[in-house]
Amino acid sequence: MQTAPAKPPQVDAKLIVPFVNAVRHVLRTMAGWESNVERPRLKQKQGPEYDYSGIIAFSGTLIGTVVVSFHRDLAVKLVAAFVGCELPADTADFADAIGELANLIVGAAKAELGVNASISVPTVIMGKGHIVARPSDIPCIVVPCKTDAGEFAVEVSIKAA
Amino acid sequence: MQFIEQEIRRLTPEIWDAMLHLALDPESEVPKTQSRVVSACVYITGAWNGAVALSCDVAFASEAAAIMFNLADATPTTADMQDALGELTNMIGGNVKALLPEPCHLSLPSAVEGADYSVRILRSKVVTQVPFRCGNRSMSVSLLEREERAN
Amino acid sequence: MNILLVDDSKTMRIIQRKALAALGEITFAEAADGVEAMAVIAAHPAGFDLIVVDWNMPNMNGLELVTKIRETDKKTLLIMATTEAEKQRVIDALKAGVNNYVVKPFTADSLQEKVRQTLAKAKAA
Repeated sequence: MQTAPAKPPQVDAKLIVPFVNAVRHVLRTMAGWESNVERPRLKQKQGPEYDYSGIIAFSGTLIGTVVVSFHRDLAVKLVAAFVGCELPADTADFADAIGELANLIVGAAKAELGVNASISVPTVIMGKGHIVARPSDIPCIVVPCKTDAGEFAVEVSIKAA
Repeated sequence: MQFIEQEIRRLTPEIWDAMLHLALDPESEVPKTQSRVVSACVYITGAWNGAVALSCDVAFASEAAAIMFNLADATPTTADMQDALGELTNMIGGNVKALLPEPCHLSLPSAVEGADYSVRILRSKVVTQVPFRCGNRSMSVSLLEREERAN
Repeated sequence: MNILLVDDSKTMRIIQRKALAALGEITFAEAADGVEAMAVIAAHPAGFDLIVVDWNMPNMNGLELVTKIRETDKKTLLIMATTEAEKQRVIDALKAGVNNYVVKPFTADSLQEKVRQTLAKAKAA
């Protein structure tokens, strides 16, 4: 007996577009960088590994997590552009900068979403080749971002509570 | 917060017993491991702001995932391990939240796997870090609170 | 000019400091939340010309800090830094006594311009 193929999980595009806009806006405003945000896609498998990630959790009317992840070279350049000076990587100040970037992106997106949800303080993961997992029952949408200095990803796993 | 530390010491072994049928014993110090580590975290926001984080080596996470998802001979994937630890952290976090002033919200868990990484929850301080042992495997549960300044 | 920067993010304080240093000869002080800000203010009898205050901070948030400052000080210029989500609350901040606000994320130019506007308006008053 044939079974019907599993339907792909439903993704609410209205939840994703604000993150696309937020990435462009924050990078342009705070770092003076133009970025090309490519078509968001459903994340199908684990990985890739990154070197720096900023994680912000939503709770309340929206639940889930947003993760902004970078490879080392891009992280160093972006933090320097953002802060206005080079910060030694793997230091507390560098972590604070990564976290603040994630915070600004999520804050700007939350503003456009217009929701009354809480967001956590940022958690920053620093370490070569780590993988951040998402809530398993929420589709993860990858927002690929390209800059002149390289690529990074914003991964959005949120849904209405 | 000392009360919450005592509760973490009490309820973590209960959760391990209920979910995994594994006995957790208190450990004297936080384990250092050379192998890949899996960490999971839930955030609490509202009247109290902080996080509950759990960390163990991949072997322990793999064992937990195999038991929790009844994987028999199959090898748990990274996603399985992260899901298992996320679920266990969620249970600990839910119990901690019940002890806190209301209203508080509990986030969904997030989890990380890697060989050599640090986890910094910004603008927060570690209130307590409680190590446990299960046979020759070890893990720790941490409670972090958003930083307050003394008056 | 003496400026106090109040934000729980050290990164944001660095960014603000760099942006405002371009305005001229400025002495900066910093605080990571409202309680620390009140302590810094008490320790500076000469006072500050301008205080830039973040909205979301632990212990004592931006609005609470502004209200506290205005209990005894109607003169010091206050600029609130807020995200777009809190723009509605800017009305509360203005009622509490801030002189101006800047929305995060902001460019160095826009922060400088907000400060110039605030200083110019105070001078004209």
